[in-house]
Amino acid sequence: MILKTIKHYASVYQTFLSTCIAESLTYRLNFTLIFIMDLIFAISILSPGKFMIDVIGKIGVWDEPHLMFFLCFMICLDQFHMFIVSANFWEFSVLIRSGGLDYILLRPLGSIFNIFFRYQHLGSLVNFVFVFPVLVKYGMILNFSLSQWIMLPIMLLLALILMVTIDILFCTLMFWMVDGTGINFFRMQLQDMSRQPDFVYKYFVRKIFTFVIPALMIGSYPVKFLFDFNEYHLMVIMVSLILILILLLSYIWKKGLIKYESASS
Amino acid sequence: MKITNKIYWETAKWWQTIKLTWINVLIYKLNFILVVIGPALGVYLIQYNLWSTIYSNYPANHLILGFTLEGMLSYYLLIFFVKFMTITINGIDLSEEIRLGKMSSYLVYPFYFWEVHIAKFLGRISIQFFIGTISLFILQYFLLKGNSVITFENFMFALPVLGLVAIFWFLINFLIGLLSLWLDQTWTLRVIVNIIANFLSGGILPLEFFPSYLRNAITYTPFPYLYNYPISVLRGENSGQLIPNLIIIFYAFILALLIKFVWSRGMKEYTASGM
Repeated sequence: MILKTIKHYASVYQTFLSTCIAESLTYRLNFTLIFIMDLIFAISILSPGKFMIDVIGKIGVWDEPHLMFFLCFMICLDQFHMFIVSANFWEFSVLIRSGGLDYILLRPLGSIFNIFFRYQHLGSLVNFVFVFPVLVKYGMILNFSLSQWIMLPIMLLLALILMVTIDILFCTLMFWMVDGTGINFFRMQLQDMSRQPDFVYKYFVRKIFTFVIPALMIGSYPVKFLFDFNEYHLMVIMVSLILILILLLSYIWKKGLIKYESASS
Repeated sequence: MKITNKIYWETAKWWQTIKLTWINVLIYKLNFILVVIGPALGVYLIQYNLWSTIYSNYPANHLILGFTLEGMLSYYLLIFFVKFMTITINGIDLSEEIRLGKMSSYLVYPFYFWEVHIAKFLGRISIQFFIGTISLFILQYFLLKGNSVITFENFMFALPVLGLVAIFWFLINFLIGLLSLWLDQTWTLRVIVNIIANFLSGGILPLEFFPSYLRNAITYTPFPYLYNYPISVLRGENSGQLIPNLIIIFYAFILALLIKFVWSRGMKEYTASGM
């Protein structure tokens, strides 16, 4: 039964993906602009990080390879996020405002899957080809062992799950708002925060944005664990928090759907 | 009598549009806070924490490329202030109006399309001016322990520079918005320009940290004059210089010419889709 459901969702996702590929190939300029945008974004994160660490030498206990690895990890994460879900958060705000959500809710599929996994930015995936080698370069400078390389994609996946769960949780608030654009800007602020290692934040800010709104956990915990496997407790905390957030999301999402008033009917 | 009447109606059109913008912006206060104040404040809080941690490894009054901790924090506070005083999101409205065919109704108004958008821009920027100034004084009181970041004299000197930079940003956003006449989506272009401008104008990191070859190269672009130059005027370091102002005017003039060209070509392409 579970296998059948997975197969069904996988076939739907395949259709979502193929329509996005068709769209990207039709509107090639949009595809190219998204690719350029992501590339410039990556440069604008990596270059200042490099310029800064060249001058100051160290941030906390991290020197240049540690910081640059962290920044590359965050950019790879952003590329996956952009590819898989990002476009859907902006679309969701429009769907609520326009009443277009009605048609999606009527489909025989889980509403979260149907709403947040519908559109992909293929341009961002292409960009991954440029960013990943830089991540590997800093991993090699740090003398990563085989087990660290094996853990890297798992850590990326965990970080992505946490990031997407937080994003969807905040998007649920759009059910209670007239215009959800502000929520999307707030999400982007949280992503900006997560692009700095957690130890740069002062105690109070760090605790709030790690345990109340766990934005700082997204990149810092997996990367710290990759640097030192003795920090396995970070992974226990992270996985537990992801499970709690998923439960919270399913509860708030149901409340949100009850609150939803169609704009079109 | 006729001239007086004309002036009255012209003023009324501008005033009513500005008032309408105030109402539209302030009706969804939470949205305004999250879209306009949030990002600027968020960047400052990140930099505040980052640089406080970096300087905590050094003795008090330690200099990093000429910046003390206080100097660095005031730099980012002024970035927050300059962004607030110069950048609006008017380009987003413009793109939507074109894409959804709403522009057609403006074309029959006795008020030019670009005039409507300038009036909307003035409405938005006046709100931001008010909130930005108050926020600056509150933030410097709480985060910089009351140490003054700018004097009233420097503030007055910087106002014309900030005005020029705001015009530059308005023109660039207007131009990108007009490209909706051809493009399905213009948000990518807007984000690209914002990222490049933020990076090359010292919005992420002061230009002093950049390698000299890059610093020299960007001197020929408008970017250093968007944040770095207004900040130096606000700090009283570069007031009264003519050349940087002329460079901003030059680039604004180029943008205005481009807008004129794009508008005349675009009107032939406009299909009023969505009508």
